[in-house]
This record gives sequence, structure tokens and C-alpha cells, in this order.
Amino acid sequence: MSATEETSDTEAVETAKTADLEVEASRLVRIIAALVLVVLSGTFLVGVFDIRSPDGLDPAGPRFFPLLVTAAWLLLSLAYLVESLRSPRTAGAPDHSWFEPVALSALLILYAFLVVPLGYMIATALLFYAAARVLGSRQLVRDIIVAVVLAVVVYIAFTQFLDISLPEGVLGL
Amino acid sequence: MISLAVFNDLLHGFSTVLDPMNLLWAVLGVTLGMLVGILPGIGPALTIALLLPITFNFSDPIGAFIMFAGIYYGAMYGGSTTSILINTPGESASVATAIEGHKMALKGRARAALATAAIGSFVAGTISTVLLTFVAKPIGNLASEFQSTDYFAITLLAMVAVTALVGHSLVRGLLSLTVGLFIGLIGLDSLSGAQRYTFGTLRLLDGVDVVIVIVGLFAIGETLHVASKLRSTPDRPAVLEKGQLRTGYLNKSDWSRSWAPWLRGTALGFPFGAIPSGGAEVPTFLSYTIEKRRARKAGRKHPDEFGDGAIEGVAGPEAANNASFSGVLVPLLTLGLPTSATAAVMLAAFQIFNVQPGPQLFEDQGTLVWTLIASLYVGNLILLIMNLPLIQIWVQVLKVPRPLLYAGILVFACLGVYSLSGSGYEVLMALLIGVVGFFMRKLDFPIAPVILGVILGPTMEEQFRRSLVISNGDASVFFTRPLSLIIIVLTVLALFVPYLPRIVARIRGTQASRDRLTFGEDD
Amino acid sequence: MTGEHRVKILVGYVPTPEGEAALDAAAAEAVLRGASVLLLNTSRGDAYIDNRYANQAELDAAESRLRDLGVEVTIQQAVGSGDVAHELIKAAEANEVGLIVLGLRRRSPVGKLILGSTAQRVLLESPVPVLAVKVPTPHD
Repeated sequence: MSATEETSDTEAVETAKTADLEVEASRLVRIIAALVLVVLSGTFLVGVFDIRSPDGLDPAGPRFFPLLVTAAWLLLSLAYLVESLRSPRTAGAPDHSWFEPVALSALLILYAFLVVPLGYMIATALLFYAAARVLGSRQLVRDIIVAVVLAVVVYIAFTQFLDISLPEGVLGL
Repeated sequence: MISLAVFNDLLHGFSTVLDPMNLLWAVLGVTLGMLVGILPGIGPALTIALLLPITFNFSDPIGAFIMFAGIYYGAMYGGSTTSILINTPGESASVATAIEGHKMALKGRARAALATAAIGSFVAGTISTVLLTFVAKPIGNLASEFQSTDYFAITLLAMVAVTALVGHSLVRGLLSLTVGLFIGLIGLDSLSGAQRYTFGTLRLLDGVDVVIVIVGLFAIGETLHVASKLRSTPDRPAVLEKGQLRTGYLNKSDWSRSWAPWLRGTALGFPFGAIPSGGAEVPTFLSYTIEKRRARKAGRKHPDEFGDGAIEGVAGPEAANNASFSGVLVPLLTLGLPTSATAAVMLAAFQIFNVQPGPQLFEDQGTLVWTLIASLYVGNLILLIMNLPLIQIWVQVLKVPRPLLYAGILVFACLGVYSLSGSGYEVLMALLIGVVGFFMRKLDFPIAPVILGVILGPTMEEQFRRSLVISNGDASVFFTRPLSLIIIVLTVLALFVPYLPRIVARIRGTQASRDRLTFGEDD
Repeated sequence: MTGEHRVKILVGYVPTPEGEAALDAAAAEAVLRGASVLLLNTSRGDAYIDNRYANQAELDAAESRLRDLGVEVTIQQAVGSGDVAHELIKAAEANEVGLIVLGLRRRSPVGKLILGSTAQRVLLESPVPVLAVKVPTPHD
């Protein structure tokens, strides 16, 4: 009695938790990721010796910890690589689109460069509208109005009431 | 006597909190916390991180911290609200509530579920804050005995304990932790002045701010992830039953079934919040399991059994989750040791105001600490008063189309990051981290260990090196000091905790269920 | 039996007063013409909560109301498919519908500007006649 009850208890709890936690990436992607990690950690490990240290690898010096961390990173990456190579061929979730994340990232990069020259309000309104559009919203008028109102309200609230400066840009307000 | 002095301090704290301006910050905090925390996928840690910029130019940290406490409670309750009403918890501490809570909602008992959550949170919050009140000073005194070796040992324990419990794969959990540790390394080494991994830029001399890491990983990473899944079949939208929120509060049976779980939940939440276990996730699930087993053993004759909307399954976890916040504050305030992502954000907030939590905190900043503790009582009360009647209003947030919600999150994420630094460069940094967060989600890497690595790594290293400097290079100092040795032994034991079910089952001779205990991560 | 060309009436249903009014009108038309009804309920699916998406109880109630009048009814629900007007037109074309019935919402001019009008789009783009129904006011 207790065995099956216990298993169903923990199973119910675990199913609730793990329902959406399947690995979404295919085996190939995981292997690539593992390789990237190996390369990165290896590079940083080598980079330890670029750190200026009068005491060399002395544990009390600045190189010790980075050495430990990057070495551990490298070892773990290799372990992950082995794990990925050993894992069964999974197809990976079929319905993942690359366009939206890439588009959003591009928007954020643009925003980072434009927020100062264009000013917070204009840049943010543009960001909001464009992001909403990428994320699927198609209601032109509504979205533009929300974007503008949001940008203006946030700008005023932060600069006037909270005393935090945000770029004025073109509008010189 | 100790207790008298404590009451005195606490009363002083109350007199500060009950200042109208500070009360306003409390109310504002709870409101904002609810509004933002109600969004699935936005946990309390991220909510506080996103709302941090509001406090940058506060002249006085007290108002800010009162607001943060309010935000935490609001965000937690917001998460419970989405769990109960539409079964999309989005933050791990609310998953347990969703199991029974949503079943209750489907039977038209949403209001009862929400009420037991609110009242349970209040009860648990108040009791656990009382515990905090009495425990804080003595532990603070103990903490002032701590030396570098002890600090090092305890940070080590924190990191190991959290990572051992998180995620489906130990390898991936440790990888997340090491990446976090690495990010923490970037910058100017305080002890020797050497530049580490700054790639020659001046900007990285100060390292990468933990707020940027949190906003990048949680806000931007989550948004990118959601964005990539948009084209796939969308979920059925939940429909709020028209009368769902109007059927009565708690009837007599509800009360009698809830009060004991409230207390048990508090008893679980407080200590688990204090130990490095990652926050509210462990105690909420433990509470759920315990309530379920108790109900089964008691041979309940109620029609609402577990799996069908048992109110104990909401009462216990909700209490546990609220109590764990006070628990988290114990190591945070006395040692400066964060034991969850939320604690990490709070620590970052402290640092913004140049307040260094630790044993000195009670001496140097007594008013601030006791006001913060007093604000917890007040925050709990405000949460209770505001939320039940106003639920309909908060729920409107969920009617906003997702594209607008997530575009808004991006805007606020950028706002937070930008105002932290004053340059768009940090936005790029956050984006880069966000992309990493995106891949981490795709590859099922746990995210919380990264944050703990970023926050705890530097401390750990500093204490380690300082210990060695003081002992002139003698490494045995870590093992000769009894306190350090004890903690290190605990650390080793902690590595085995996830395997406990299997060990216990082996001893009992019964079948163990799946492999390791695993828990989620984003509170 | 064979060759019987039953007219189909498509009603855009929402569990609101306007939707109920449309349903009543569609039922009346169906009885009049001896037609069957195709009930379509959609949601953009872009928000977490959408009260315009009918739940099972509401659909069952609608179905039994029509059946009690002796009208044959089919129910279709769709999520995330784009906007309602487009969906109605698509369904009308796919099912060779003879009439579209929908309910009108009162909108202020500003509301119409910002949020648009489903009814207007359907009226303009529908391949078949459209019956637009308002909620009956008390003194009707």
C-alpha cells in the first residue's frame, strides 16, 4: 500500500513540476552547445595566465580562483559533451521559431544605440511598438497609442517624480 | 533581558513604519508587486529587480526597503492568484498552490482558495516575522564571532546546497553555477588590483552588476523564449467564470481545515527559508506532500479530496511560501548571505544604498533593520486588506494581450538596466546575458545557480584569500577552527540530500520513486 | 433526403448580451427558413484570460437552446487564429453558409478608431448577406 501511494504522491508532485521542463533542444543543438562551452572555458582557462599576478598561482593570489573556476568549467563542459553524445536522438521541439528572438534582439541592439540620440520617449515608443508587433500584435492604432502613452508616462514619472535622468534626445524636453 | 530590548527596538521600528509616507511606500509596493507578479513567468525576484530603479534616488533607504518588502509579498500573492485562477504559475513557489487551488477554482471556489491563501500568508507572515524578531539579534551576535574561514565555509555550503537541489541534472546545475562564478570574477580584483577578464575595456572594471544579470536572465531571457514559441499552437485562454469571484469567502469547514496547515506551513517555511535551499520552492512542496499524507491518513470523509480541490493543499503551501521570506532574511541580515534569488536582489538593493548586511548591521543601522522588520508586519496586513476585495482589478492585467505585456516587460527591463548605469552599453550587456538565458531555457539549464554564483563567488573568494593571508598560507586553518569544520562537513553532507529519498527508501525497504529530488528555481 | 440543400446560418457567438442576441436572431432565422446553424466562437488567444471565449457550459446551453427550437446546430471553436472578422468570413466560405449573423457592440467613436469594428469588416467583406443584431433595449 505505502509503496504505490508514495510513488503516486511524489509522481503527482513531480509531474506538476516537470510537465513543461522537457529539454527543448535537439541532440545536435546540445552537442554544439557543449562544444561552445568547452571552447569558451578552455579560452578563459588559458586567459588565467594573462592575469597580472606577482605570486603566480598562489592560492591567496588573483589567479587561483579563476583557475579553479575555469578548470571546473572545462571539466563540466566535457562531462556535458559526453552526456549529450550519449543521449538518445531527440528531434527537439518542432515549433520553435528563430525569427522572433532574433528580431527582438536586433530591436534591443538598435534601442541601445538610439536611446541617447533619439531621446528616451521616442526610442522607447518605437521599441514598444516594434516589440509588440514582432510578438504578434497586429492592431496598429491601438499599439501605437499604447506605445506613445507608455513612453511619455514613464519618462515624466521618472524624470519629474523620481528624479532619475533619462535622455532627452531630439525633443529637448 | 534580551526580549525587552527587542521589543523596544521593534517599537521604534513600528513608529518609523507607521509614518504616512512610509505607509504609502508599503501600499505602493504591494500594489506594484501584485500587478507585476501576477504575470506568469515573473517571479518576485524579477519583480523587485524590475522595480529597483524607482528607488535609486530615494534619499532614505527605509522607504525603499519598505517598498521592497511590499513588492515581495504582492508578487508572491500575484503568483498564487495566477496559479489558482488560470493554472499558469510561472514561478516555482506557486506550483504547489496550483495543484489544488485551480481545482477549487474550477468548482467555483476560487474565492475560498484565494482567501485561504491570503489569510494563510498573513498568519504565516506574522508568525514568521515574530520568529525573525527574536532570532535576529542572537544570531547576529553569533555571526559577529564569524571569522573569514567561517564565512568562506558558509558561502560554500550555500552554493553547494542550492545547486545540489536544483535542476534535473547535476552536471547542468554545476555548469550554471560555474558560469555564475565566472561572471562574478570579471572586473578588478579588490585584493590585488589585477584586472580579470576585462578584455581591455574600462567598463568591465567594476564587473557585471547582479541586477543586470537578473534582469537579463529572467526578463529578457524569458521574453525571448516566449517569443520563440509564439508560432506554435497557442494555449487556450482561460475563461474567468462570471460568478467565480463572487461565491462566498471561507465557510466554517474551510477555516477548520485551514488553520492547522497554516501553522504547519509556517513551521516548514521559516527554517527552510533560512537554510541555503533556494528559497520557497522546497518548503511549499514539502508542505503539499505533508498535507496530502495527513489527509489520507486521517481518512477524510470530505468530498474535496486531494486531487480534486482540497483546501489544505492551498493553505499549507501558501503559508510556507510566505514564511520563507522571513526565513530568508535571517542569513541575509545577519550574515549578508543570500539564500535565494530574491535574497540576491535584496542584497544588491542593500549595496545600492551602501548598506552592508552582516553582524555589524544591527549595530550600525539598527533603525533601518528594525524598521524593515516592522514593515514586514505592516506589509502582511496591507496585503490582506487590499487583495481580497481588489482581486477583480488585479485580474484585469491578465486580459491584456501577451504581446503588449512582454513588450512592456522589455521596456521596463531596459529602463532598469539603463538607469542603473546611464548608458546603453549595459542594455547590450543585459541582452547578451538574456540570449544566454534563452539558450539555457532551451537546453534545460537551471538559472538560479547563476545568480548565486555571481553574488556569492566574490565573497567566497575574498574570505578564502583573507583567511590564507591571515594564517600566512596555512590551509589547515579551514579545518582547525571548529565552526568552519562543522560547516564544511555539512557541505559535504548537503551533496547527498537529493539522494535522500532513495536512501530512505532503501532503509525502509520500499520502492523509491524517481531519482533525485529536484526543485525549480526562480524565486 | 438526397439533394436537400439545407441553408446554413453562421452565427458569431460570444457569451455576452450581444452574442446571445445574435444567437436568438440566428435561431429565429433558422426556424423561419428551416435552416441549420453553425456556431463559431473564437479567441485571439493572445491574452491569458479572455472572457469572450465560451466555456463548455455556455456552449452546451447555447446548443440546447437551439435544439429545443428544433434547430440543428454544429459548434466550432478556434483559438489564436487571427481576428474574428477574418475567421467568420473564412468559416462562411468554407462551409458554404447562406447567412452570417452577428451581434453589435456599442462603441464610442474613439473606441471604434482605436479598436476597430469587427461588424464593419464582416459587412464589407462578406460573400453572403449579413444580419447585424443589437441587444434589445427594454422598450423594444
